[in-house]
Amino acid sequence: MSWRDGIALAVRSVTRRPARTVLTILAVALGSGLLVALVAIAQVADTQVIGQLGKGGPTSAIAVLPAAATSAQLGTDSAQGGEVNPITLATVNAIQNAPGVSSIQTVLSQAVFVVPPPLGGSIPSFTGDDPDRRLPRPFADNLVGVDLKSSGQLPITVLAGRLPSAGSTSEVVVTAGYFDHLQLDIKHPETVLGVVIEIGAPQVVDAGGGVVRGRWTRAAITGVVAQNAAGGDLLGAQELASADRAWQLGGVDGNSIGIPLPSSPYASLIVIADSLNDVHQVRAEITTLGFANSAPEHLVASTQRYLHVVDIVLGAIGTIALVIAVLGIANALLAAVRERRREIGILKAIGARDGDILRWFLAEAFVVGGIGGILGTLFGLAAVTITAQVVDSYLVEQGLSNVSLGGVPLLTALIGVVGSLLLSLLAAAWPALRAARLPAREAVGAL
Amino acid sequence: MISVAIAAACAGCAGGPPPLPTGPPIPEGGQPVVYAALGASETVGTGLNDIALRARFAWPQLFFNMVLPRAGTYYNFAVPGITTAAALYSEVPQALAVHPTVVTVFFNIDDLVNGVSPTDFGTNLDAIVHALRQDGRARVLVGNAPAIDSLPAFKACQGQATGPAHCPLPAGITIPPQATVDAAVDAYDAAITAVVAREGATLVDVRAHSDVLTTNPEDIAADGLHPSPLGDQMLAALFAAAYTTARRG
Repeated sequence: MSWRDGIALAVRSVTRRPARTVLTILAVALGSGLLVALVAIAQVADTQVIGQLGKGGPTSAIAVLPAAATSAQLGTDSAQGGEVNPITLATVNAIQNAPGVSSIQTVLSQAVFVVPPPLGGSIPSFTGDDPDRRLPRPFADNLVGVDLKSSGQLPITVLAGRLPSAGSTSEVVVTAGYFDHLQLDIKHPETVLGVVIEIGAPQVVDAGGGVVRGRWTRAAITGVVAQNAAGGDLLGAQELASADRAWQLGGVDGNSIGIPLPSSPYASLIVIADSLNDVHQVRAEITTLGFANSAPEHLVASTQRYLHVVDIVLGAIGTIALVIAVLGIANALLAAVRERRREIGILKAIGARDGDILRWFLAEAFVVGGIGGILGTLFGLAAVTITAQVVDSYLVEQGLSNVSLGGVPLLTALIGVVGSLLLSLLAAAWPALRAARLPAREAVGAL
Repeated sequence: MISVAIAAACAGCAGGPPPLPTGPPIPEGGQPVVYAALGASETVGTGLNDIALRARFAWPQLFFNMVLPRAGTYYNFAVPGITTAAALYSEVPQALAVHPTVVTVFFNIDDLVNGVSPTDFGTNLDAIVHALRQDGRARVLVGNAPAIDSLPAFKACQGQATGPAHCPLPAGITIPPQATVDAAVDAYDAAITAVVAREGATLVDVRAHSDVLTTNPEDIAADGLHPSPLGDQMLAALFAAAYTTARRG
């Protein structure tokens, strides 16, 4: 008897007791489904929790600030800065050449004056001498400029819409602070998407006389982000912030009127280490260069330890459920061996060997375990998808970043199916051996 | 069949999180026009109470938002109290440094107040417009002078103050008779018209709307001289209309 004949015989056998077969398959499906769901949820939770620590950017990102590092810097995740220490191009080059550094993002921050809509011809008609009374007040803020071609390396989470196109000087995104300025509700981000605002960069011509000129541009709000790469409620292309900065630097220092010249060429740097393991070494290099820096280094390490424990517990619960389920297969097969003693005896009497009988019962376990495993895996993945969507809705409602499954957890699905099959075969081994070793004379003794 | 079922289920998983809320489609920003505004106090936005009001209502700001594409950039080089002679050496070089493609020029009252002759005014204005035209690379709009005899500040100089407006003339200078002032304004406007024709600029006929701009109380700021937000809106509309017509022409 070949394996093919064994499987054909097994299929016929399982259809003879449909109720028992269905219940056994369901048990395996529930067990493998639970295992797959728990492992997948653990994976998503790991990714999301660690991802949140990186605030949307890589967890190996280190923020470098234009302040002198103190001696306590390396012992803590947060920046421990003292007096101003300008970040220059030389600083960028020095950090770039440090071992373990993958890339660097420079961040500009530019003081601007923001005029929210309505603008120009869109201003509603009014009468009287106070046209400002019903319009949102313009306000002072900071425009943060980054290289949007490498936006994936920034600690930014998009809550609605999209980031500005790379290099665009007429698009920006805003943070919750923008909503606060205009007394809008961030739960309705659509109210600002597509809106055009006016942005003015100041140039102090005469600080004593208070003469300030503006370089005015307009930008459409393309999205809302949970946090910015530096202090400020607007985020745009570095080209826009850079042009605004050049304009301000063309004037004089307006510190006396609240418009000081920037003290550092760069507001901050986002340094990406090659891996989480390199973060400490890179931070040490940056600290040695004299710059305050921050990274969730210690937090990530301790969180990873806790998450690993959670992974083990969830995986163990799923595995126990699957083991209990496949024990059902062993029980069903033992019952089948008792019921099929005559068949076993006849098969042996007409020349079937012990191996043929063994194949028959193992094939039956393979069919039941396989179907149960596949159904369970599909059930588990569906459960994870639905759970993620429910969690998503809640997070978006709360103004937080949403959950990403990160694509199909193929390995988890494979473990679900293959694990069910292997455990089913393992569980079937004893009943199958018992059937195979049944002497033909004893098996047909009832005849 | 089972593999198809797995594929279908996995396709569902690959969908990931639900899409983020999106806004309306955002059109391209258009041509990167560079706009420079040159002038005196009216162009700065004097007459508007604070910087927030100026940021929204100064007429060049309104003009920029009314007719220029979103990708445009706007600079205001105006200086309160400046004359054309001074602007030629302060505002013009600064404006040329940003390579403007659209320029508005609005000088008149301060030259008038400082007793600049129409001939000198015309010569200075010609030099300003000629430089800003940059051999035709920039479209230059020049506003002419409105009739000022109805302005509350003018009346204050004549001792006929009717409100909080005060006479802007320096102490010791007396205002000439109204006929003389009207003649000077006429001469200034003739000089402006000649410069516009000579340099291929675009005339913005503010004079034609003097009856509203200088007599309607809602169009005049509390100082009796500068435009109020409504007056700024009207000035911006005049410049915008002239710009639109010139572009079509």
